[in-house]
Amino acid sequence: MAKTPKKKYDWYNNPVVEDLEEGSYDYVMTQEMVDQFGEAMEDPTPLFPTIAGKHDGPPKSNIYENEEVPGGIINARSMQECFNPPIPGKRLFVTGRITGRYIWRGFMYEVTEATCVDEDGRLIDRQSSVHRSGAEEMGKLRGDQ
Amino acid sequence: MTITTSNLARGLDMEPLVKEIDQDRINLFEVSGSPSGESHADYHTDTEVAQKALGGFRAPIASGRMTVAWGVEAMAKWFGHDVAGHSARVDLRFTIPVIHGDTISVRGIITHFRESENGTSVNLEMWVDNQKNQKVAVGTASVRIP
Repeated sequence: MAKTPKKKYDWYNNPVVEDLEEGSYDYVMTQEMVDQFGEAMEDPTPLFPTIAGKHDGPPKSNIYENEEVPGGIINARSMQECFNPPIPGKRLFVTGRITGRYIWRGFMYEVTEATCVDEDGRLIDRQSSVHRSGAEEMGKLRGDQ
Repeated sequence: MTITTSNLARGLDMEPLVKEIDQDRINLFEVSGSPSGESHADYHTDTEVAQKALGGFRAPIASGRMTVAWGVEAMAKWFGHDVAGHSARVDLRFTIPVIHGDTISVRGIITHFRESENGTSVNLEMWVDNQKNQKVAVGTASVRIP
């Protein structure tokens, strides 16, 4: 089956709040993914390896082409709400939406959110992020480049 | 010490969760989230990409999600896996990049709590310091103790 071509994302004219139903996706959380996450975090009993999945990204990128943002995009803020730890071997279903978009102090901001439910209907987690333009500014913040 | 309703107190300073940051672990974090197990070069994993994307910055930076994951781990350490696993909420703004060689400490202080018929809701101020005492992330966290 041919893939639907991705749409162009118009930062100024697209709806500020948008359900991304078309970009929903699913995957199986394997024991290997859990183990890798645990090793990466140095946490032998990690609760939410789903965090590394950055769930709020794909629902948008599954629909839209990568847009050119001045200075590149960087994650300015992330939120994780935990409801039930995922069970290895279960399929996870992720739906997302854009919950806001604004300009502040010259930078473009976009807020995305994703909700994850497993194959048994258990609510796993909700992830949200605020991405902003001007990634190239970030290096200046440490002062020890 | 696990925080329960019996030792809960406003202003309680939580024992920091300390982590040493290593590029191999940053890379593994990125792979672990990929259902295909594939990795790609980005400013979290590749020095050249980081230098280009981050205005000449000298190293790849850890994903902010790693910092959030440490926040969730800290909540599990402080309140127990059962409580954190079913009610933790961590919300962090990233202020300074975290890179290989850093030592970070996730810190928290209980700002208030409220009892209700659904349990006790606990709110914290949460922040993450690096070895230079710079705040790399600031925000809030909460749990509900049944």
